[in-house]
Amino acid sequence: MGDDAAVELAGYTAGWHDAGAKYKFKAEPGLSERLVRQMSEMKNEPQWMLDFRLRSFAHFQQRAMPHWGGNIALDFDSIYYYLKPDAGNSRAWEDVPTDIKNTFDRLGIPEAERTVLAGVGAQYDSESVYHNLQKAWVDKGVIFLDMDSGLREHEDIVRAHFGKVIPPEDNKFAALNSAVWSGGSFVYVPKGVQLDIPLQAYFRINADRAGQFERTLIIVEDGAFVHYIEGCTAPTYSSEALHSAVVEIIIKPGARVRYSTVQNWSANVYNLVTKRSVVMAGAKMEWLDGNIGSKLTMKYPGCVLTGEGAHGEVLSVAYAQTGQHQDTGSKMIHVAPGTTSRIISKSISKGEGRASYRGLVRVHSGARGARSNVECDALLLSETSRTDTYPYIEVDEDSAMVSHEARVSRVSEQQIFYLQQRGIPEDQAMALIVSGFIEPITKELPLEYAVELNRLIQMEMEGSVG
Amino acid sequence: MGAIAIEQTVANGQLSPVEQKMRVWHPVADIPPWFSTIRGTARDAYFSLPLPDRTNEAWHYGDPSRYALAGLDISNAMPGFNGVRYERICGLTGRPRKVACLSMIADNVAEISSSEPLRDAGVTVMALRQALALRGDQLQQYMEAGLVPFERDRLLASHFALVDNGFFVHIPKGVTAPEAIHLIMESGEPASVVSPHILLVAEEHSAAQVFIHYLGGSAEGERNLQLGVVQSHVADGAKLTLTKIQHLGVKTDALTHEAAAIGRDASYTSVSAHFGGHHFRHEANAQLTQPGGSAQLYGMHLVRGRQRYDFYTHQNHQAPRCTSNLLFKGAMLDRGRASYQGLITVAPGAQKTDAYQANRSLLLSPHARADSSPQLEIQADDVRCTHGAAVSNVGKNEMFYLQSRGISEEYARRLLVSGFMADVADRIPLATARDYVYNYVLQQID
Amino acid sequence: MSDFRRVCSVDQLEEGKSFPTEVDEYEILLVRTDGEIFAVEDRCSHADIPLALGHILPEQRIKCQIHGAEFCLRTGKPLCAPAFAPVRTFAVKVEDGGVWVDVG
Repeated sequence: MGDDAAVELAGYTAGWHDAGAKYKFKAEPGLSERLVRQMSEMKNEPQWMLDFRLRSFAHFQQRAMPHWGGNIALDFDSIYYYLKPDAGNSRAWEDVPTDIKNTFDRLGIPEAERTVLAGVGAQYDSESVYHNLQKAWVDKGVIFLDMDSGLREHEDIVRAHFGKVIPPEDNKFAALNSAVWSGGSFVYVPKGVQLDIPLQAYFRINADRAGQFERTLIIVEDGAFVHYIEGCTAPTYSSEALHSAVVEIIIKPGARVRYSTVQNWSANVYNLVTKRSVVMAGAKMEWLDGNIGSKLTMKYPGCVLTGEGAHGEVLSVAYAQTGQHQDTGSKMIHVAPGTTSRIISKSISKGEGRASYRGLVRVHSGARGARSNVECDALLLSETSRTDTYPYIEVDEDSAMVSHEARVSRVSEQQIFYLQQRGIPEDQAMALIVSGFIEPITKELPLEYAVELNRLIQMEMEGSVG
Repeated sequence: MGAIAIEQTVANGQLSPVEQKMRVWHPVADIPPWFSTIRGTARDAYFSLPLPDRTNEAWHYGDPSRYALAGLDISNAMPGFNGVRYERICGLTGRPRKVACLSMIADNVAEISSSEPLRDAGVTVMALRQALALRGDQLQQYMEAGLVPFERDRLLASHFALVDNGFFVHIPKGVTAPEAIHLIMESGEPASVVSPHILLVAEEHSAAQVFIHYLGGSAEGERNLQLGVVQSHVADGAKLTLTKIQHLGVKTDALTHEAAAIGRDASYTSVSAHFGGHHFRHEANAQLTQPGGSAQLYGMHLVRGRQRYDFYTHQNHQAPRCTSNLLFKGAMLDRGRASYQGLITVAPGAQKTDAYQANRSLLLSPHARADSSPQLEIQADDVRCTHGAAVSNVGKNEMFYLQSRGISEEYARRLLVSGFMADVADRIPLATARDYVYNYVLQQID
Repeated sequence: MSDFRRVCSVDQLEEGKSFPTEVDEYEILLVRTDGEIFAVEDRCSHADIPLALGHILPEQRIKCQIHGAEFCLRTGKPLCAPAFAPVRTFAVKVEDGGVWVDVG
């Protein structure tokens, strides 16, 4: 490929209309300092961001792979980290697996969306919808941009907070994201603003839904509220094997944030995410995390409770079937007095799927009166399914109260029999029971997600018995 | 001395006296060849393996360098019982002249008392060295069974490289031991390391109660180390109850590894109380490889001052219809710190498993710390598995209740802490030992 | 209540380097930098990694080797993520050529 060849950017472009721009750089796989410099130059970034990327790249190179968690069989040298060759990215509709097409039917996904979700090239034209919603939040002074634009238009705010919750050295994949991030969201909510319409990342997505190395930064000022929704229940195809996002949230005193995610990445994806929020005095963070897809997801949404009376919560659902490993959980760090945390994790393993809970509750000396409760429930649907629980509880404060409970069970024959007696076929009975099992979490999700999730479960349960 | 320093001393050829002896050790005539082979293999493993580090999940919280052989030598102390020690032993065992009681210090074993009923029943209680000489063939199958995997573990390898003596207890088929058996381990001399090995064998449909008492020596002098292994082979239908009271001296660091191979419909119960030592790590491994087996593991500990305790347990369900139940409770005072890590493994096909695991910690001082990581790896679906962990101080409501009834704060706290320990302490099947445990706990609370 | 213990001689401390030591149950790191001697608990508040493995930075800071958390040597305050809790500090005095640390 010559230097003049047109290339497309992987991930997000700077604005809504920039698809197809031509660049003089060549697309190449693998990661190098040169690539990081090119990327920063193409994005026209300030020096401090280039320095940040370079420092992160250096750390990524020397940092060892984690010795725990899932099996990450990735060839880092063959991944395209930024520029990708033209016309190699999308696939034809004929190539989309039948079961995926059926899922779209059953979930009632509109035509226009199906092609985008399935990775069949076309750009999703939601501009009009987007603009109507946009007016609502702009009127309140809320900033909601893609991260690249956020850096460009609000450099001072970004600089003050970027990397302050999750430093590049946090873990190898945070370092990778910090070096090659592109796209993601920048959200700023001013003091006292209560945003009752959720902000959806959906509307920030342009051509390729891959969003490999998204970087999201959310800052919520005193007393404000925002609900941010990421991802989508419908099966989402990605040609990229590695997704490594970083989400940092800063919640100022008395403010509240709810962050809902449902991911249903295709079975080739390694989804390795670092998400953390700093929660100040009297503030509240709620993570709703649904993991249905991907080959391997490693994700532990966390809260650092730095202010008195801060509260952090994670409600997590994971579904793993054959060929999948969901290694998910949470981290709650209690620094200040009167802080509270709650983790509810529900997992379902089917076929040869493996669902692991991995969590940390750490209470520092001085976090007087801290309270934390963790409940893990694992449902095994087959003889060959696997579930693991790896909690770590570290308490250095004698006035704290920390508890953790985990249960493993399967659907009892009695439960199925009871429902069959009432005329419900076996697989529907299974679906009902599984839906009931995760109901405490799905009831907190936005309605469309909950509905879709339950429909998905119904489909999955067909053929899961016998 | 930290791990880095130890590696450097080995690299520099600066071996401690005991390591020098290990280097030049060779088999001697009166030891069975198969035992010499074990010692030689372990010695080679010791010198070729690094100390475990944090990438080894079983050492997530513990500090392996505390159980290293730096600066230590083998001790030659002989058991010489002064009046005070003898009375203490009697206090623990209850009936000094009637039960079978052996004591070990350094590598030397003495018989304190023997029991005629046990002898008449055909029960064997003897020093390991004696058993190797007289019953070598019988011991071979158990010692070579690989229940304690030392080839991959430098610390266990150091035990097997140094093991010279210990105890051997054998209960014949169908026999219920009419008396309890008491084994006493004493701390060695300053700057010494001892590696006692206890082998307990309960044949088919036999039953026995065994007590192991770990006693402290003098509080003066330098650090000494105890690397102990207790391995139990509980054959089909047999029932073994093991009670351990650990009250080592303040200068003793100790690592004890307890492993049990549990046969078909067999039962293994282990109740332990830990109070002494400075750095103390206890590993417990229950292998349920035959259907219907049962493992009940209870432990209680109290740490204070400089003490650092570290527990690692494994309930390993390899066969269907087995039961395991673990309850470990600890109280932390001053700047004492304890960590608990435990794994329940349920292998594919181990259906109808019932496995439970609970770890509860009481933090009784502002700078005490508890770490807890109970873990599950489940690969069979028709199972009942739950686990729980909790860390807190004594309940405010409970304290208020007692104080409002005229009970002093101090006494109320004592009541609550001993109440907390009761569901482990009450399982100690001997009144004198139970009293000892309760008295110690109450004395520590103020 | 003060409880000063002599942990080493002044000559044993190199400028810009750290010196791990143990007093009773405390694992303490002595650091000589900028003409002063500081004592902090040898344990990063983020993940308990020994700070002895870290680096001394200008302006009286110490940086943990593994995840990069930084602490102020004088106050123990955490200066950057991923640390958000302080490390314990100990008072230090130099007397008769010896370094004394207060573990009271």
